[in-house]
Amino acid sequence: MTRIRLLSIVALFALWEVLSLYLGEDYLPGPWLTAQVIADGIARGWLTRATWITLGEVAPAFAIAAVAGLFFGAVLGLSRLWGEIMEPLILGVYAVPKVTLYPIFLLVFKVGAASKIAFGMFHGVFPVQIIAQAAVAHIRPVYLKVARSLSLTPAQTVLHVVIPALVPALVVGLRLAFSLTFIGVILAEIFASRGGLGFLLSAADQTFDVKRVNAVIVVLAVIGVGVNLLFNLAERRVAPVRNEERQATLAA
Amino acid sequence: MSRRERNLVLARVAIVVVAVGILELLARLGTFGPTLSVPPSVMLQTLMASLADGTLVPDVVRTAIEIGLAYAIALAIGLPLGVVLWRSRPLAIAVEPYLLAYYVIPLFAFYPLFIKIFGGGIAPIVAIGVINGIGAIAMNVLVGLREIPRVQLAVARSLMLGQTQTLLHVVVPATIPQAFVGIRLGFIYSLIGVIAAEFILATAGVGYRIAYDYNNFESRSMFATILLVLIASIAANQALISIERRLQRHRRA
Amino acid sequence: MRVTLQGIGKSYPTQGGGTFVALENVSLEIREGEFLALIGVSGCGKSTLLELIAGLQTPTAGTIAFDGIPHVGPHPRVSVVFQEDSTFPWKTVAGNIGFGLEMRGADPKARARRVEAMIDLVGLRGFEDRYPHQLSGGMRQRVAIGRTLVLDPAILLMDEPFGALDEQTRFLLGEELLRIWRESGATVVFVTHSLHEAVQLADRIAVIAPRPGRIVRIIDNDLSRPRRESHEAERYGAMIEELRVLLGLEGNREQTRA
Repeated sequence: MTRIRLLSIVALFALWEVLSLYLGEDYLPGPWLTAQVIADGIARGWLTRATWITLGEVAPAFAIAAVAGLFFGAVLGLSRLWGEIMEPLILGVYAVPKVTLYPIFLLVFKVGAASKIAFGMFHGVFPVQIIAQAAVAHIRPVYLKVARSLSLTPAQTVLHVVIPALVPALVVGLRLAFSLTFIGVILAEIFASRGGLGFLLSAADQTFDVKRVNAVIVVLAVIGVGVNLLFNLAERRVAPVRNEERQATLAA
Repeated sequence: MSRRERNLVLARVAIVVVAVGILELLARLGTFGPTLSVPPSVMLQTLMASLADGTLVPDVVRTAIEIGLAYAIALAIGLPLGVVLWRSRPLAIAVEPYLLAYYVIPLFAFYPLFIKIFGGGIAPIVAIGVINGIGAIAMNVLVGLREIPRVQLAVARSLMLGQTQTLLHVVVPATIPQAFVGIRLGFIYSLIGVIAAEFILATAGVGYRIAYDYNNFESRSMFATILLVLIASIAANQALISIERRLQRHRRA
Repeated sequence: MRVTLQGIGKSYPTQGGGTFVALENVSLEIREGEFLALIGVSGCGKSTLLELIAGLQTPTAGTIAFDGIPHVGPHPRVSVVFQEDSTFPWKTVAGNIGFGLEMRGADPKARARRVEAMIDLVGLRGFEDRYPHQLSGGMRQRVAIGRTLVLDPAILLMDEPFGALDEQTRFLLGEELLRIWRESGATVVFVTHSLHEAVQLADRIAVIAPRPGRIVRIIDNDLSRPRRESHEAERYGAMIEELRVLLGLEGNREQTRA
C-alpha cells in the first residue's frame, strides 16, 4: 500500500515534468525550477511574508467560523423544530457561489484584513454548522439512556457523554471548515488586496511570471494538504473507528 | 405532503419574507450608507430591466453555456472515474489521498496554467468548472459502489446474471442514491467553479459582471446580478435535492 | 431489593390525535434475588415496561415501588443493559466499565480495584486496554454488563441484551450471566422474545400479550439447573409449548405472525 502511494507521488511529479517539457519551462516550469523559485522566495522573504499574511487572516477567520458554527449547530441540533425549519435554508446558502457576495464584504469592511477575515469566516462556517447540527440531532439515543439510567447530572452528561460522542463529527466539520476558510481568504486576496498568497498569485499572473505562479500554487497545496493531514491524524486519534466507517466522510 | 411538512415550508417562507422585508425597510431608510442601501425590490427591478433590454443576456447565456459544458465534461470524466477506482484496488489506493485532499487546494489557482494550455475564451473557465465538479462526482460514485451490500452481488452471482445484467439490474440501482448526491454536488461545484472563476479572472459572464460593477461603483446593477446568481443557484440546488429525495425514498430504513 | 408494580399503564398520544395504549394495568411483584424474564412478541410493550422500571420513562398510571417505597425516575441501585451496543467508542474496556464509578466520584484506587475484579468476572482479562471497535459484538455486551454490574446494583434490568448476537454466543453469555447473577446476588429482570432463552435463564417467566400490553400469565420455571433440553426433555418441551400457545405462536398463526 505504501509502495503504491509512493509510486503515485513519483508519477505525479513525472507527469508534471513531462507536461513542463512538452509545454516548455516558459509556460509551465518543472518541479526543479519551481523548487528553486520557492527557495528564492524563502531566502529573500517574499514568499514567507505572503504566507504569514495569509495565515494571519486564515487563523482568526477559522477560529470565528469554528466557534460560530459549533454554537449555531448545537442550538439548531437541540431544537428539532428550528433545525428542520432552518436546514434547507442553510443548505441553500451553502450552494451559492459565495465569492460573488465578496463585494458586499468589501463595501462593509473596506479593502484590508477585516474584509478577508470576515469573508473567509463566511466561506468556512457552513460545514461546521451543518455537521454540528446533524451530529447533535443524531447522537445515539442509547448513550443518553445510559447517562439517564446512571442518574448523571446535566453537566456530566454534556461533558462525559455528549461531547465525546460528537468529537469525531466535529473534527470532520472543522477539517472542511479550514479548507473552505483557507480557500475563501485566497479568493478574497486574489480579487482585492495588497498582500498574501492570493495577491502574489494574481500579481504574478498579471506580470506573466509563471515561475512565481507555480511556486504559489505549490505553497497553497502544501498548506492545504498539510493541515488536512493534521486533521486526519486528529480524526484517527479521537475516533478509533474502522476504515469502512471513515469511508462515509470521504463523500462529505 | 403532511400538515407538519406544509407548516415547515410556511415557516421557511415566512422567515425569508421577514428577512427580505427588514432588508427592504433598512435599505429604504438608507441605514447602510449610499452604496449598500439597495432595497431588494430595486434589485429585482434592475435585474428585470437588464434582462429585458438585453444588457445582461449575453453574459447569462455565456455563463449558462460554460456551466453546461463544464458539468457535462465533469460527468463524462467523474462517473467513469468512480467506477474505475472501484474496480481497481491499486489505483484506488494510489488516488484516494488525492481525492481526500482534492478540495483543500484552491483549484482556481490553476487558471493561469489553464490559459497556457487551452488559450483564451471560455475553455479555461470551463476547465475550472470541470475540475471543481469531478471530485465530488467521482468520490460519491466510488462510495456508492463500495456500499453495495455484498449479499446483493451474491444474489446476482447465484442467479448467474451476466456482467451487463448485473450492472444494469443490481449495481446501477444500488448505487444511484449515493451517486446522485455526487451528481447534484457536481453540478453545484461546477456552477460555483465557473462563476467564481469568472468573478476573479474572466472578462465576460455573470461573475465578471458582478466584479465589473463593483469596480465601477455600479452597486445597483451589481446587487441585481448577485440576486440573479442567488436565485439561480438556490433554485437549481432545490430542484436537484427534490430529485435526490425521490431517489432515496425507498431507502429510509 | 423487591420491586412492586401496581396498576401500571402507559399510553402515548398518536399523530392523528388518538391515544396508543402501550401497557394497561400491569401489576407484578418482582422478588428479591430472582431471575425474572419478560417475554412477548415484538411491539408488545415489554421493553417499555423495562424502561418504566428503569425510570427512563414515566408511567401514565400506577406506581412503582422499590422495597415498598414508591419511586419516580432512575433509581441509584437499578442498572440497565441495553440491546443496542451502548459501549462508549471513546473509552477503553476498562474505561467503559469504570465509567459509572467515575461519575459517582469513587476513589480512583478503589475504582481501579473494582474494575479489575469486574474484568475477570465478565471474562475480558487481556482486553482491558482495547477499544470497543476492536471487540466482537458479544465482547461489547460483556463490557456493557460489566459497566452496570460494577455499580453493584440491587436490580439488573436487561433489554434483550443478547438480541443482536448469534445463537452460540447467546447461549454461552446466558450461562455466564447465570454465574454472574449467582455470584452478585442481584435481582435480574430480563426482556427477551426467545422462548429458549427465557426457559434457559429465568426462575419465573412473565408472558406479555400485545395491544394493549398486559401480563397474561406468570410461569414458574422449576427445571433444575444447568438447564438443557436433553436433561428433562419432556418438561422442557412442555414449557416451551405452553409459552408458544400463550404467545399465540401455535399452528398456522405462527406463519401469519412471522
